[in-house]
Amino acid sequence: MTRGSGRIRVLVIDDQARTADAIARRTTDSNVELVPVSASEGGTSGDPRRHARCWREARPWIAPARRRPDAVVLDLRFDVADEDLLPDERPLGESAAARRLRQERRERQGLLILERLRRAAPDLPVILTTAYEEIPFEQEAARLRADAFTYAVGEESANVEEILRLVRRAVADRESPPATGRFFWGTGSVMRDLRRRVLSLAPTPMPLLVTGPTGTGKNLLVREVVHPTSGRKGPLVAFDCATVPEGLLQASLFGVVRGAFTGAVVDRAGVFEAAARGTLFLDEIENLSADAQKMLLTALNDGRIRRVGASADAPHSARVVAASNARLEDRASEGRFRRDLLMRLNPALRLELPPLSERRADLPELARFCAGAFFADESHRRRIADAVRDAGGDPSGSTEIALGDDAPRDATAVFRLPRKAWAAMLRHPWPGNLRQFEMLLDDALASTLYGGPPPRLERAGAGAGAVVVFDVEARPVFDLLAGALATEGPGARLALDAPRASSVAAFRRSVEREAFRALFRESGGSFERMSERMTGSARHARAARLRFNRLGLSVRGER
Amino acid sequence: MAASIRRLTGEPGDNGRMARPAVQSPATRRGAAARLRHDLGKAVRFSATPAGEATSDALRRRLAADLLTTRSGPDETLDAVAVFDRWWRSEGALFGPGSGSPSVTAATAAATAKACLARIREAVEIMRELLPRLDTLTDDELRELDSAARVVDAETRALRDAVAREDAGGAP
Repeated sequence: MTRGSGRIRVLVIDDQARTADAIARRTTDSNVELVPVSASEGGTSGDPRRHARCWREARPWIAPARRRPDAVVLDLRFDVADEDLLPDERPLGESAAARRLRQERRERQGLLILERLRRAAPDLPVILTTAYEEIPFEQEAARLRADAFTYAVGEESANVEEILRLVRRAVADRESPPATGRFFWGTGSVMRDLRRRVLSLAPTPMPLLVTGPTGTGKNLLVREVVHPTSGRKGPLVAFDCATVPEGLLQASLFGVVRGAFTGAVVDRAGVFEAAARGTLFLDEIENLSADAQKMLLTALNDGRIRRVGASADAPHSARVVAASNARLEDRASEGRFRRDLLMRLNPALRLELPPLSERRADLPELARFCAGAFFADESHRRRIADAVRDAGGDPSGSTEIALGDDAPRDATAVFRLPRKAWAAMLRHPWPGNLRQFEMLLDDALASTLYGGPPPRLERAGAGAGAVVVFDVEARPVFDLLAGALATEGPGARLALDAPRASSVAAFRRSVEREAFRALFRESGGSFERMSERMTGSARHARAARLRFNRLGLSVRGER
Repeated sequence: MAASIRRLTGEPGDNGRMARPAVQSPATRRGAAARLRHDLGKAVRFSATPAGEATSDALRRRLAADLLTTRSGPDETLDAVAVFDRWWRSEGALFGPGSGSPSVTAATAAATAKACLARIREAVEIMRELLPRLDTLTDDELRELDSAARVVDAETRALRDAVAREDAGGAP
């Protein structure tokens, strides 16, 4: 944050001095300081001001060569001259049309400035002094809500206190560590947005739904983030809905009283009671039978449960968090999941974890995170220390992974992943997501540590100490990547009838058509499943359907 | 300061002299209500803290910051009364007699909007009386001025919402 001074540097872009003045009055008791806008660097008046009145005055402070502010506070309406108004900063004249255009530009000037800001600095935190509800342009307001780096003041609290609170929160969000416990956030905008929503929803008592493809970390999110930040005093109780036999489900969920059935020799609490004042995590909720769904709905609606064999209900205090890797809306449409139960799980507020293929920018940090956990394991640590000592290095130093051409930073032992292997990992579709990535990297590091060539001592350069290098072999990584694809279910191989065609282009099209037809059939006619087979994610179902139709195939014809 | 404010705003009583805008579409009324909220409603308690001010002097300083320099640009500084007067002269006619939506379902929302505006005007009149004497106001008068600012804050928001409802045919 706040490089150097320890204070948060804020650039105010507002035609009025009000916001900057109010923040300036707080600077003695807050850790915020304003970026002064001087005449020589975009400002128009002789005296340094504490706010930029238009984009022209703000632009120099956003330039890549400058030390950027930590956050920008931005107004929506700007009553400034035509020459200061985006998009083209030119005089408009005095005709009726010109006056209307001027009015419109002034009303939405903040949005136009934000657009320029985003082009120059996509992840710069921007605090709007206008609540989303007060932005009269609905499409823009909706887009702003989806921007993980833009914050708007609350409708009821558009004052300097709220602005300062948001500034601190935005900077804290940006600087928050890439992982919470064993859950890896990364730094991408999707996960940043998710983090904001998790931290705002976790302390509430409402049921939550966590969704995302298998291996994306739903379980870890609940264990490492949602429950610990919920502020609940009770325990986290996890219940896997896929593993309990139908006959035992009711007793497992709600408990049983002695004598309720043969074998019920003592009173036994169910998971709802075990999670009293805590969190009940229902994993793979899509596997609940129809009866179990009904019982769960009653428990959520009434806040009461009844043990099997009991004659009266009792209140429960567990907060329910459910997880699923299926599209519950589709299941509800097909009649396989109760729509009222789905609604009770607040689907609009779901916490959706994206597939790893949509978070490629996070892969280097994820690799270091996974490697760090591997190196911290006690048995691996001892083995590394022995090998480093044998190679003549310092066994008491730290170990790190070097990806491709990365230079080792400050470690005395380095596992070097060859450039080609790392490039292949960056391109890999990762259908098994983070879990698969972690397992593959663990396998590659373990095979190097326990079965690879002996490490060698390398001088890092003049004045630098010696580094012991473990060379990770590329071939095993490629084998592991190929194996990772082959183990992803029957969809990894497709049997096609070899078509005959009049040209290479026609042959290529025929092959694609046959491939889509075979995938469609193997996916049971579901474009979501088809998309999952193709990309590891159901998110591309629409693109799959479009291509399917473009190839001259039809749903009715293929079913 | 007082002289420059009078020069910018005209004398009290200007409120009746409203220029009738050429266009009175729902969007125009919505825009006008949003501008009043933005320029005046949000500004009058911009420096307020949730805990409130501990002393009369602190309250006086905060009221001075929010009500005497409600809008300030390179060429002009307007107090809260002047901001309202300017808005009223240019856009008040949009909310005058016969300016509401003819839709029966929107009548309630239109009536609410008119009531909001009446309360805003009452509060502004209190400001008009007290603001020039801010330095010498008694504790009770300071609290009265603060209450007037609260009314303007709440009622400009209510006006904006009512006009939006009116525009939507009275739907809540």
